[in-house]
Amino acid sequence: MGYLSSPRASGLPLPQPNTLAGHLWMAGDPGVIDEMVSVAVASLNLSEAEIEDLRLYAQERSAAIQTLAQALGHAEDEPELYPTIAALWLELRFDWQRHNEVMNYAATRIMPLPRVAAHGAVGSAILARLEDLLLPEHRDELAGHAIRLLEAVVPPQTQLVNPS
Amino acid sequence: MSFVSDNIFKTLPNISRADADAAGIGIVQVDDQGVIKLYNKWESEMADVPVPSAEGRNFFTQVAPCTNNRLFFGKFKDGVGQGTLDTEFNYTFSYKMKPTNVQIRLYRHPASRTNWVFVAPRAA
Repeated sequence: MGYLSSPRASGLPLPQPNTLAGHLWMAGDPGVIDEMVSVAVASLNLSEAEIEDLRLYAQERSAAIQTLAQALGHAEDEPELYPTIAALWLELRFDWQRHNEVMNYAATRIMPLPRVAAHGAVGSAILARLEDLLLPEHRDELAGHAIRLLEAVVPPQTQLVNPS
Repeated sequence: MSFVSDNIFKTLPNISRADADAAGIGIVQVDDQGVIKLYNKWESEMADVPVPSAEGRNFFTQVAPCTNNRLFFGKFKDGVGQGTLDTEFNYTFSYKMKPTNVQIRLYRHPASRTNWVFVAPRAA
């Protein structure tokens, strides 16, 4: 789907092409993201309801990305847009991380959860599209901070023994 | 019976890049912290991560962050800490790829104290 043929995610004007906001708009292209959904669907055994749920999940993220691109679409917004993209990348990364944990722990202990695997796969594919807009050193720094942030959170011993 | 053949084990720890690339499974050598020393062609293609982008980076936190949990990295750290890393288990990779079910073997070569991650596909 081309730049101008993408449906508008909101009533805001389209960002200019070849700007950070323009690239972000393209990263959220619903046509491309829908192709990611199709790839995930082809590799997993999902019910019709689960496929619909996955499409909705992907469309919501596509719309969030494109709305951000439109809302901070002026050239003077770029200094604020860049860290906001970084924040969105972190948000999606934590979201993917949760899906990854649920998927692998569930598979180990009970049974595979293809719905969760599908959400994780699509979420990480969207993450990869945003990642291209961040400098590699910033991406590494964010990922490192995210890991250290969670490593520092150790539950009190009483909670481990008695969850109530 | 492991998916890693005896022939591969016999080549450790000095397996050449050519031999590693010729293997039909993923072969990754990492140091005790997880920094990648060798990343073979199969693994590179499966993960869609070019070899130069992987080697020198941390396998568990930077290249394959889906392994940064107690199920995977935890087993590695425990095994390296005890000097007896040798475990095989099923896992699913999902980071920037379609969900891919794999078998994993984590192995520490006792004599050379080198660490190896072997990866092979498995049916769901």
